[in-house]
Amino acid sequence: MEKSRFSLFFVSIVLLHCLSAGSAFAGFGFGGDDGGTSGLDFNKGYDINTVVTVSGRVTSLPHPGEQDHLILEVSAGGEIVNISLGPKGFWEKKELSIHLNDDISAKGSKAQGKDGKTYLMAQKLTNKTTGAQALLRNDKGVPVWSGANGGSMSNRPSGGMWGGGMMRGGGMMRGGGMMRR
Amino acid sequence: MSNYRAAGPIAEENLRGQAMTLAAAIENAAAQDPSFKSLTGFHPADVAFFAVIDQRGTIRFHSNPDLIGSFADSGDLLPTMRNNVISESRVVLGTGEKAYEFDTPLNIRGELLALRLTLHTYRADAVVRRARLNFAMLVSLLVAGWFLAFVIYRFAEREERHQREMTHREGLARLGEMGAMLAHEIRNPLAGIKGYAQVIEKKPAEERNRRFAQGIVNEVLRLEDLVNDLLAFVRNETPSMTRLDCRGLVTHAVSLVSQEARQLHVAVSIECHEDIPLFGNRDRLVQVLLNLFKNALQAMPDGGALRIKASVSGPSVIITVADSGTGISTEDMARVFEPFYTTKARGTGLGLALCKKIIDEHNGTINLTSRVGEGTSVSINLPLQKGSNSSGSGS
Repeated sequence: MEKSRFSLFFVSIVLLHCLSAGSAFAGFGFGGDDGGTSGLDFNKGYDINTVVTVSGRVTSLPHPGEQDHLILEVSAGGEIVNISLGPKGFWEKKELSIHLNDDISAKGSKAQGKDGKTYLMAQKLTNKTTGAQALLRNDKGVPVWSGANGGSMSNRPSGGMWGGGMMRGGGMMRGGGMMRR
Repeated sequence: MSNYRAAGPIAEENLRGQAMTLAAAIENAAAQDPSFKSLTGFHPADVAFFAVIDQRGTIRFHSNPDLIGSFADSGDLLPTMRNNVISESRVVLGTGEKAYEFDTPLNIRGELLALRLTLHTYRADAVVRRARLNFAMLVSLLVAGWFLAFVIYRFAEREERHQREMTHREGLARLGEMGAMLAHEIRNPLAGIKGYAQVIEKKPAEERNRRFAQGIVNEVLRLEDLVNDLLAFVRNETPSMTRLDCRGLVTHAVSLVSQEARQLHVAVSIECHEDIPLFGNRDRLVQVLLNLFKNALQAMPDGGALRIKASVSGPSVIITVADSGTGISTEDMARVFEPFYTTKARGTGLGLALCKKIIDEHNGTINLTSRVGEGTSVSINLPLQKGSNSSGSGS
């Protein structure tokens, strides 16, 4: 009887756990509404098509984000942009001090994560308050910390730049089927 | 479920509508300013990027100004321009973002161009996320509902079983109390009736009364047996235990029924090791064996064989009483140990119930196997007295 009661209790706990997990992961694959993973590739991800320059005020100091990359939050034009600064070890060597409310200008590839947040994979960061600059990627988006900054990739690939594939293997990657009408 | 299925197409429709609106705005701006300078400040929130390409593959305008004037592979855009068709698809951008790509032809002052518009999908996909969330919650609730129903069913079932057991126990307790009271009230008058009947039996006024008196004495003896069984069954006191010799116990019990066995032409055999020690109450264990022997003899009215075997198995003594009698039907087997359940016309239904009670008091078990027409075997399992090192069996 004791064993049966324990089994019942155990199954209840597992089921309640599944119930909560079911809700938490309901948006899996489409991005959660509350701080799930972004689904972006912070290490090698970069798309020259989405390169923009963002200027704004620092609202949050660099803090650990996904894939061990540091994230700097900047308020720019009414939206919060999460600027990816590269791996922690790499950034710490840069010795570029950033303080709250500093005016920052960052150029890089902009993306929207599955969590609904806006990210910027920074290529160049300028602290306009102090005048300090940091180069995080070359013009083609190859990360400095990767040590492969020779620039072998071309900005005009014959294989097609659309879809941003050049940083991810050179070809266009289509997530869904082609629909024509 | 229909909402869940419709969510994907709804998201696509939303994206398509948004893309067409933006394309119309871009075309309109481009028509008014073929240099595309007016598009420089055009940065709608959901646009990842957009570009205008001519048939040679030159990027005439791009939301990343660094790419304006550069060459792009326009192979997959040529059909859009030449056939004047719109195409759309989901693509993965270089950042890893999954985006919506919309290609449409543009006719700017007679020149055929193509517009590639790539949109963020987070807002449009909200409908899909919501549908998935609802679906997951619905499934979770259904599973939880089924589980709770199962739990409630199990609890109800257990409660019902407890109620049945309680009712049964209460019934037995009431019956026991009543039986004890009746037995007590009947015992003394029975003793008087038996005494007077025995006096009449010895010195009858008429000779024919001797037979009647004998009949009265026999019936009184039967009633006394019943009363004794009843009292033994309702008795709750712990019996005093002593060291017993299994062979002596069995031999003594057999001697009590040996005359009846001879009369019924039943061959009795005992297979029992001499040094099997038991720890129990002699009178009660003899009563158990006597009940089993009597049951066996009653099952063999035309003769047969009664085999009694005692052996040691691990920490237990196993006493088996097997007969070659009529056997017990499967329906009766389940109830044979229930008190007052009997298939005999003159039985009390207390014999096996009393056996089970006594064996339980000795921390033993009693099991019965039977086949109709082949006989019955009752196996008693009693704990071996500690310190004994007897083993095997002999005759």
